Amino acid sequence: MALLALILILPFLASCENHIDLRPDSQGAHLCLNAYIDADSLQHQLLVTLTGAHQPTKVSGAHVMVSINGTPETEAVENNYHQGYYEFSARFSPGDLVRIEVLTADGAHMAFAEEYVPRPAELEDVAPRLIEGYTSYEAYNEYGAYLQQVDAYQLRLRINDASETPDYYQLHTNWHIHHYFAQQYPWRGEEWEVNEQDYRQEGRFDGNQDPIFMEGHTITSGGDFDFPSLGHIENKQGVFSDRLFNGKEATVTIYETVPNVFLKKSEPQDEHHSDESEGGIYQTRVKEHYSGTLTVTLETISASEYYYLKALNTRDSDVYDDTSDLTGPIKTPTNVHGGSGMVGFHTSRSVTLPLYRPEE
Amino acid sequence: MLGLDIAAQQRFTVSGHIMETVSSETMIGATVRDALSGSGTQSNAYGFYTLTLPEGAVELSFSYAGYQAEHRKLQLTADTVINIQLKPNDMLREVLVTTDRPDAGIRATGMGVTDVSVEQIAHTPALMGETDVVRTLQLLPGVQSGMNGMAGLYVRGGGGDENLIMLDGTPIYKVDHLFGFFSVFTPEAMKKVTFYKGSFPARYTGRLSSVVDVRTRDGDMQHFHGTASIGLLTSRLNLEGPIVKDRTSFCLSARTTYWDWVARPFMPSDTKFSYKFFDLNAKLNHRFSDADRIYLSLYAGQDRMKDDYVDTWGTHDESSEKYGNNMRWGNNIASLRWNHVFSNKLFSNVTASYNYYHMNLESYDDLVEGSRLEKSRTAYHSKIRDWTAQVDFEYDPVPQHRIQFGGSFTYHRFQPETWSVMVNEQDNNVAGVDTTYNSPNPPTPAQEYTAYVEDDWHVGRLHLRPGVVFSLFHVQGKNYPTLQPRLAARYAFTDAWAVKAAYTDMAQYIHLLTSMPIAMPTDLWVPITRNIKPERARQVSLGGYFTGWKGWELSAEVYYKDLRNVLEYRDGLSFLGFSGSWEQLVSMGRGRSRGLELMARRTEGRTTGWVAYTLARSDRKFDKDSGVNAGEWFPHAYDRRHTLNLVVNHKFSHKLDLDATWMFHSGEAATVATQRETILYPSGAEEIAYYVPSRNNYRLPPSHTLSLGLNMRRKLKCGALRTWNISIYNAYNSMNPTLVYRQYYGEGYAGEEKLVKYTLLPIIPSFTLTYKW
Repeated sequence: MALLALILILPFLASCENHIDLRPDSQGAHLCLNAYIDADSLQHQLLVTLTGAHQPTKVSGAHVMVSINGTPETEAVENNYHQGYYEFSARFSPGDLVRIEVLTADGAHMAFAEEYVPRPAELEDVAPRLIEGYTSYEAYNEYGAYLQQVDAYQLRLRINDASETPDYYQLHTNWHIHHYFAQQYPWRGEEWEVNEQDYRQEGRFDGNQDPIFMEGHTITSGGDFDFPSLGHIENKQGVFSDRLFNGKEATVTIYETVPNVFLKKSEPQDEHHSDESEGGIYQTRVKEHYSGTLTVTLETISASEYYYLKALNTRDSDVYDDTSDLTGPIKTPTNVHGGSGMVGFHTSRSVTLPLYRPEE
Repeated sequence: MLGLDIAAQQRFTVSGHIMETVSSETMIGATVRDALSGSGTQSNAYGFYTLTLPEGAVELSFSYAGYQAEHRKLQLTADTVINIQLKPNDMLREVLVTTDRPDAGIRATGMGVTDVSVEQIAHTPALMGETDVVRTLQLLPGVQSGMNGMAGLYVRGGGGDENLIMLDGTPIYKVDHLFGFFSVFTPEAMKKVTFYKGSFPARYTGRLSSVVDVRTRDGDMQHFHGTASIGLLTSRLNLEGPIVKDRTSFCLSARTTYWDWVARPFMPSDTKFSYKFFDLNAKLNHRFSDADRIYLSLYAGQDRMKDDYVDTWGTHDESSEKYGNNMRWGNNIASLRWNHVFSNKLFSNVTASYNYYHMNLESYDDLVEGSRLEKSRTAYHSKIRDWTAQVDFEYDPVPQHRIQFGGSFTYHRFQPETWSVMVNEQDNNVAGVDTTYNSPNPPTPAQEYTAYVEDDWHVGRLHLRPGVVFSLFHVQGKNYPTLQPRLAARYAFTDAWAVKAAYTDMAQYIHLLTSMPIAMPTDLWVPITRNIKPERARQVSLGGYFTGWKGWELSAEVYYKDLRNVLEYRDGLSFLGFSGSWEQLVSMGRGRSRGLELMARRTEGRTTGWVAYTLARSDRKFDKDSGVNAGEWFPHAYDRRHTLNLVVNHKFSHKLDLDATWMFHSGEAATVATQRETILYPSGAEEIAYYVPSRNNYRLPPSHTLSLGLNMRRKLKCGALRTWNISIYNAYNSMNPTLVYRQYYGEGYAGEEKLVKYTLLPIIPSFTLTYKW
């Protein structure tokens, strides 16, 4: 926020700073409901908390009723191991009106959220291409954003918009990585000891240069001063609307950072080990190999979830600061009547891509 | 329909222009009164008056504040043209007469109207010595300044974009410089300012809350003269004089900053930063005859901020990055007017105008790193172009009626938020990415048609001013017609005391989207669309006025204003750099404002001024699904319950005077996080964050500011008048809360929550040196 800094240091505007007491809030605690409900799944959970002057508190013993299209469907049960979390099973279909109502055990707080289950969009073929040395607008620190050279897969995602009404999307990626590790001890014989392990990790992608993903406000490489809107809000939550392709097909280009481990070569390598018990220095032969699949998921989310996640983008950007004087604190959007928080529903489509380095 | 009174007695019309005797400058709002019949009128915005009287003896007096009245006795036997030149009153040299307020005072039908003289503006202590009409208006009842110390206008609970601010009849979009600290109006170029906050005449439409009608000087028809002044922030020059005596004159006024030249040598070698602004007013007027006159008015004003940086790194500085921004924003206005007197009862004004508002930001970034070259260019523009044709008539068929009617057509071309991004990369002379993105939003054309009629109707002690405006705004294939009825009524119990009532209906077709309390160049003027409806305001007001004590005017007004389709940012989205179209960011809702305004004004004597008190409340409410404050009522920005303004101008002699203002207002509504909540991310991560239960949920401490100005004048041997102005803004250094935020002090649970309070404008002394010849 170079400009704002400049405004404040204008030589003739010598500002002065004082502290004044903060009067306590007379409004009392608000019931806060939070959930991201996957309508394609049967199992769901809801987090119930109360706001507080110093700390929020998790709510136990609340009565949580779930209704679909006006008919009570099920009651949620509190998770014994995770205080404040309530679990329930329900099957939702696109177009269902779902209401989740919460009453605290003492009857002092009641709040509810109502949402329609959105219709999924179609996600089609992607064409991955490895870009070595892609300049990613990667991270933030106290000086703002900085750039990072990474190897990345360029993914071109073809999306068929869900309907001609406004639709909202969230994009995310997940890696399923297979780790192959083999060692050979020549002094013991020719056999290889093989260890194989599968694990998952959240993907990291950059869609800052795509007009659809950034809804017109692309961020190019270049640091803090390149974009004219005087502050970047990176789309960390990966949400966008169909404003630019309502009812049509569109292609979104993102760059998925290749995980560091995935870049390791698979050729056998000699490693020197000093093993006094064996009486000297020996060579161990090692083969290590990573392969994996990348799953790209496009969730169709409700409008309130879209605006909530947009607000989280703002909250997590360098534009916003809890102690910002000019922009003021964020009033977090909510779809909870009688309280705060956000209960969102989504349906999703995914594609899974086997990815490996071209030379392999 | 109009109840025309056909009198048995023959009537004739006296008409003409009223001008200053020294410069032949036309005088707006001069009073013409017949002592025998009691009939009277005022000159219009072009100095023209017309008064129909019974045949026979008449005793006419022509008067204007600070000028000697002229008297004419004659036998009226035919329609007569009398052009009058009024002389400044030397007897009043040591007395400051601030107003006779013919348009705005007790005799006017309208209410909530104030004439602000250039003299009064000059006698309001200024920030950095920059006398400013907006800062004078802020001292009137019912007007809030916005953020402390800013030159904003928030009138009767309205928004900052709800003011129709016009320069010689043409609306001006960007009305401030330096992020809102100063307005664009150069004091030397102004002739008169009229401010309306209720009972808007039908000729004004397009904004909800106020009208500021700024008229500039026509130029001296007799002599060349000028004014030059130098201050801490700007220098100003005003020149005017005849091109052809008594026929053609000009007035040229310029203002510019210069402190970036001063600061440049002190900047580091790898950084260049500059900021400047300027205003240029030019006016030509030519009098063909008593019946025809044309005016050409030109205005150009711009702020410019530029920064350039160079970073180098590597063992031998072989890598470098050059980047920077160049930002310009402002207005260009041109208007051509033709006044024609068809007869002594019918006056016309035909105007063609062009209005261009622009904001351009160009950024560059050139990165050289080894064999890799990377260039990016971004351009971001917001533009509005308006072409307007307008015709206005004033018709005085009989003494009891003055009918004003007319119409206008404006072709708007809005281009909010257009941008292009170019990225070019090369590595080892091999081309990489070479892409240009352009914003998908094409310019939005819109057509605005307006027709109005209004009658100022005198029936004995009762004065009525019914009027109606019909306007049609066509945008994106959709028509928005609005009918805006207006009614103002005045009943005078005696010459000294009257009551007034008014009903006003206004519509607004464009909005200013702003994210911050300061005026950012990136604030966006946007039109209504097929989804965003026009904002509407209906206001009723009632007032009592008393002038029974010599040299004093007392007034009390109450009002209620109902607002529809007002815009607010959705929760969490009111920040710069947000992606998405602006329509996605806002919601439409309703608002209401009500208040009581009291004013006591001393208009004559060595000590003049006023004390004004406002009790006000303004709030907003949006639908439950609007994303704004969960559908609950919340106080509007700058909602301040009590405001007290004191203005004192004391003239010790014609060489020395002292001006003082004291502004007090109770705490304004601000948004402060008063609790903490749990945020849940889609990944399942929980985070504890500040929680804001409601918008504008917190009352800040009260603010009070004393400002002083001392003017010392001396007539030099060369004939020029030298004036030293020494001003002190916030004289006792009141630590008013300009901005606040919450902060935690201490560690763990032993700490304490405090509000950090910024005072942006502490005590600021300044001086201005002015030569007038």
